[in-house]
Amino acid sequence: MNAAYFWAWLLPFAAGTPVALALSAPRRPGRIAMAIGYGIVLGMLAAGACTALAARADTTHVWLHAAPWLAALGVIATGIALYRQYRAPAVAPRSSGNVEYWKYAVIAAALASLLWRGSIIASEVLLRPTYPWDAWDAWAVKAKTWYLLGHYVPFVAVADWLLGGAASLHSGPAWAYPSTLGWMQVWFASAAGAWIEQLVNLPWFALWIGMLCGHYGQWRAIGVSRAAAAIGVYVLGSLPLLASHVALAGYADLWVATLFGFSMLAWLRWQERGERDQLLMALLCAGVLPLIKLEGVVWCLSLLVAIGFGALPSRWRWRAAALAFAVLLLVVLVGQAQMLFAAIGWVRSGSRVVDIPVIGNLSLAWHRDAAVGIVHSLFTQSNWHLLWWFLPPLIAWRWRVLRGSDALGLCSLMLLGCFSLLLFLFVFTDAAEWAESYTAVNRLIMHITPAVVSLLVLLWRQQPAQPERADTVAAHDPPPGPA
Amino acid sequence: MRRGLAVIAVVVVWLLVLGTAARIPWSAPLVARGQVTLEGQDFRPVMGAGVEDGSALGVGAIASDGNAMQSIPMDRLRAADYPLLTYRFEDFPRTLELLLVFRRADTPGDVQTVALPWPGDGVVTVDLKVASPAWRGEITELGFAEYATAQLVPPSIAFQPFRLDQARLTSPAWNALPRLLRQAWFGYQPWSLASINVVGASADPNASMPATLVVGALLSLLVCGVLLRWSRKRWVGGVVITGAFCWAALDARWLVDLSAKHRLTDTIYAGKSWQERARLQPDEDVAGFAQLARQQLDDTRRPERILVASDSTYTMLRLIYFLLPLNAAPLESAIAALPAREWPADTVIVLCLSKRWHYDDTDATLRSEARSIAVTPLFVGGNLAVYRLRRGGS
Repeated sequence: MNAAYFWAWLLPFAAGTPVALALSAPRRPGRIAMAIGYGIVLGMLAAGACTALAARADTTHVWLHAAPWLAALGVIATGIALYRQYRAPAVAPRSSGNVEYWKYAVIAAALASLLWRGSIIASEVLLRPTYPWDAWDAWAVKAKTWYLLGHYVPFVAVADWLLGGAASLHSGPAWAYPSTLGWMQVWFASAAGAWIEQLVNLPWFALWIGMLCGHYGQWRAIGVSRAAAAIGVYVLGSLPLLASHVALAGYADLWVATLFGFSMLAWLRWQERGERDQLLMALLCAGVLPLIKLEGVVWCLSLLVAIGFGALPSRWRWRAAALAFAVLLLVVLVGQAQMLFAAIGWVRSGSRVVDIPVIGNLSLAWHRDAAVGIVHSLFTQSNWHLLWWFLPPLIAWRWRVLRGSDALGLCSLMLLGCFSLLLFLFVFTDAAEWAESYTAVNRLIMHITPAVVSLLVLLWRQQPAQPERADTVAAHDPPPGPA
Repeated sequence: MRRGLAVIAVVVVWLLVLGTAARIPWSAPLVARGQVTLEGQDFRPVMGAGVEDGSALGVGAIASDGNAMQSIPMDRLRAADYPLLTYRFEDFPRTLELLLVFRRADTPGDVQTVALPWPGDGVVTVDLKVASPAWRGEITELGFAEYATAQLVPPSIAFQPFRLDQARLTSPAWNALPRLLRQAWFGYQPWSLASINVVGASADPNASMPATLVVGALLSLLVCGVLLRWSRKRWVGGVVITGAFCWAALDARWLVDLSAKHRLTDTIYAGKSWQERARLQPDEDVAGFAQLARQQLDDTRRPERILVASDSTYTMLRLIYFLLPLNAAPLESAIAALPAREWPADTVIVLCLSKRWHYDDTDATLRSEARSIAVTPLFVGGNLAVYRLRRGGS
């Protein structure tokens, strides 16, 4: 490792953290953790964006071309964050309340176990060359090509590649995948001074740290006590499939999961606390999803629909829902229908077939083995510990809390919709084979898992926060609820 | 009185639940009725080299194909009577994978194989009836085979000498319960290409640790709650504490597994430079083919497009990745996209470990089933061949 690689880490962090601070109300509990978490993730993606915009012609010296843009972003965001901090009314320091010693012991043990696994997976990333299939077959191909060639070349379909006159075109099985993560890998490869896979994959470990910090900070900001938020971080960090995606770095799914979770929490914070900046943050995180992975389009639309639905006055919501249901019913009844989706093109549905551009042509049928596969994935395999066992009883137990909070209710509805979409995909379409063979099913479920953990943590709260006006947030900051 | 009853009921619940998870028949005795002990020294090396080492067999070398195998003839052993296999190795390297190989009297020409858990230095017990439907009939030969863990360990550094101490086949018995569950739940499972999709083994949901813990915990809570007449507060407290305990148990198991996985990574890559780590690929043969292909392509006019084919999709895609930044894509995709006659003239085709595609010398054509491509050979050596597209072919 060299000094450039060190700076290549520092700069995204120094640019991303002020952006998160600038979009967060000052003096809110968990603000620093939130800023670090969101900052790391957004900073790394910003580094990729700056590389894509400023260093296409010279990917060997990305540092020289992209760093000034990243630094400028950091300076501007720092200025806004400092201004907001200066303008915010001062509040008296709050007592954190008494926490029993046994709770300290439990939290310490939980965090120690996170540190232990963190050290293992960091070492795993730093030792092993890129290992999982799609990491070298799909996600790293563009980055490795661009970096080793020293400049950008477009990736196109094989037919275009063969017909193209110039040899500057490249192709491959994953030519259509989004390039955002590829550009980020070019940033780190360039700083490392060579295509060193371990150093190119290290952002996945930073992503894990960012995911945990970001969720902790947002939970605290929404009114979860320190103890409950710390246990929530342990629950999220202990999920085996998430840790596997870090240790075997290179897939895009953990990025999607993190950004989906971040977006939902920012949206929730906007709903509960009335912080308009957080709505911007939610839209930013949702907007990045399609740039990470094709399936991100679906999650982005889910979030946008949910945010739009939540923004409607309550008397309009059911009318809008009824209208949407009627349209859906019409589509199903008419059979041969075509529906325009602004972001993903034409969705065509026939009596036994549906054609979704980002997924493909799927014939509709009931797949029993896929349903069994999903049950195994959620309940008998070791991917999620007991997360999906705990979810239904906890919702039943805290049903009144859920009903009493408009924000939590909307989030639950959105997650239910996302989960239903996955169930439909795996149980009623050709994608069933991904569930029967346990290939994509867990990875797609992982996309919504951090958000589901957030729902559990927020249900665990004793008192859901009442909506507040943004300008009174700092003055009326409620004490955290007990664990 | 009630407390004593509750304790007994909870013990019975867990015996039932754990017994079901381990698939031990209810009618099985506490101690095995029959057993066949096979000492290491009785095994004979079939592949690789080994010598008697006391009562054990010391395996000191592998065959040229990277595999080792030791076997022993059996006197028509009835598989159904002896489903439990217990084995013990010493110094068995973490880099190797272990297989049980056996022949049955009904199919003497076929060799059956069962993947076995990594033995480490301890005693491991597996239920062969659960592990493989092939464990039936009469067994006429039994043995162990070892090879570098597939798609994970570079074969060149995989082998270390080890000792086969003993194998034992026994009838079902309840005293095997702890060893069966310890292996099913805490046994080392190396990373695999599927690890990004699913954690742990997905084969036997019956032995699922999460499901077993949940069922055992729920039944225990029910028994305690009813017998001890718990209040609502006690119920809630019991559920929360039990849930937290089960989560912690599963997480401890995952941490043990993660640490074991990491020890292998550490064994292979720790203390080495970035270049050495890059060289130590699990498929070092494919990396070698890529290097050779690159040399051959460097010796000729640098092609603008390279099409790669192999019988294995994994090998084909890995070769493309190793060849980067050369402008390579799968041959099959190109054929599906456009007829070969429309391909650019400077296209090169690389075949690696391919029997599906073969070169026909009579008309200088690459053929696969009904497809043919006119080419000029640039390099043909062993499992790698490089051809340049020839204009005028089909």
